[in-house]
Amino acid sequence: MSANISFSRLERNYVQGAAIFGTIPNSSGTATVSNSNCLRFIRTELQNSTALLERQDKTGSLSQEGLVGGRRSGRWSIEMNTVANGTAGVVPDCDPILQALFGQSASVGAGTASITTSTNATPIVLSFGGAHGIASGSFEVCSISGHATNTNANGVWLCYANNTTSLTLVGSTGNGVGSGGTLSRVKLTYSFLDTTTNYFALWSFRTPATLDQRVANTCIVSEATFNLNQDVASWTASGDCLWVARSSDFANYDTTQTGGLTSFPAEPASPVTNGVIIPGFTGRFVAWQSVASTSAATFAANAQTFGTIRNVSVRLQTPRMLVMDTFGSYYATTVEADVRNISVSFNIYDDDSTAVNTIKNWGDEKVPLDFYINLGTNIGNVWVFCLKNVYLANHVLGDGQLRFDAAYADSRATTTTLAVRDEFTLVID
Amino acid sequence: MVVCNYIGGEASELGHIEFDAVGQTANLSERGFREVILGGAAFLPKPLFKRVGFTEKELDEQGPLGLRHLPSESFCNKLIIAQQFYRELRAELESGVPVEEVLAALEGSEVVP
Repeated sequence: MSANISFSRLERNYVQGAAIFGTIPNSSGTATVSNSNCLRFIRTELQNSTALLERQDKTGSLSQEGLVGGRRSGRWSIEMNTVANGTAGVVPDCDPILQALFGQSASVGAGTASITTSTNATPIVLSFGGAHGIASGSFEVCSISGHATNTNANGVWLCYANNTTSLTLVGSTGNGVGSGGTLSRVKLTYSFLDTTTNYFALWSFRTPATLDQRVANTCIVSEATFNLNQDVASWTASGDCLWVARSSDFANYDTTQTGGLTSFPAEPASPVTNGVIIPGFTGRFVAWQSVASTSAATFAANAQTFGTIRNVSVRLQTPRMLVMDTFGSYYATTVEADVRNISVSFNIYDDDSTAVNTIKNWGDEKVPLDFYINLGTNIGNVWVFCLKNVYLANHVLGDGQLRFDAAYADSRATTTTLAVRDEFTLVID
Repeated sequence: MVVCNYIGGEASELGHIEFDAVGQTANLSERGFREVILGGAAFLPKPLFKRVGFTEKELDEQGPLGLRHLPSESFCNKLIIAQQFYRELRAELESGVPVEEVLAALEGSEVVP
């Protein structure tokens, strides 16, 4: 009898947030993975890592004796397109991974306000009939829709509240005096919390069902990288997990390996997925000195929009590790963590513009900068990468292509104060 | 069956069926409806969708994702309201309210037992 072959395209992933270390989400032993947990992806790797122990004493021989199996853990990694839900304020399919990355769930913004007019200026200033709800002198990422004539105002912007009824759209340029439309503050904001208790289970189901199916139990995130200016935006994430359980071996597993399940489930029949890919070269790259702006004019004079960025990578290292040295256990028993390292690297074409000269000066002088990097343009599917207090690496002028470019290697973002943990915030709007 | 209409900002897939037009109809079982809503696909039961007040013309001209380049203020405002209804519906189901209870609370809900 011939074996079934395994087409790599016939694989689906499902991801579920998990509240308890060591437990795959279940109801009385039956896995609760369902259609609503489906996650489209480019590639996933799930693998176990069982140490091999070798006898260390001298034997009088140069040959190695047999080995013994040691402590057990697993690793997971995933690459996926950067895709939001498409509906503002609704978490993307990859939400459990983002929660584990940030250490908490996203906060959901609320509120709308009616726009009366806008200026045909750089930047655009919006006026409102009533209070827009953003505190005067503060910034917030918001979306504008349905604005007529000055249609450049529509989309997702970092807004600066000039006062209670006026907002400046950072990095904008008007195309007419506009009227109407709505400002919406509904969006998701992921920010860091110093916790290590957000886990997820990552399932890999293949077709036919007789193939080995897998689930990575108690996944934690130690690194994620977002890449911009590709044709299709994508990101990767990886980390450790307690164990990768396989369906074909499930009956032989110990209680840690089963993760609380009594049997390995079948794949849900009608998976639900959401969102559309983002052309990775669409968006906006704005930076300015990390100083508190006291007026829109001060801020507008300081903020620089960079139109000739070649590529950007935002790298989040959130070192969470399984504790693998507990006496009496083959498996990890909890999670420990170290200081985060958040960095941005980018290439920009070199020219004699004010923006490029300014950023070179900022890099040489080690002036801390704030970056707001929009990826995408459609409301509901815009990812805004907000990095604070970035110390730029010294740039390297490259002549490896037709035009010179200035390359900034990993430049680290830092928090404004230890209490706010604002070195990086992800807004999906 | 629960008769519902899509109100998502972009697109969702149920199985291999794609929904990318505001107003697109789906007939779901109650269990399927719950999974779809919790799965992030933005559908409203028909009575709730009707309450938003999209016109046929709006749905024809601006409903499909591919036609929604610069949607009108009226359409945008209705979509904002519809998506708020959806987020509230989803929050109810997430908090553990039974789907039957959620649907029964919608006056005139087209639920066939």
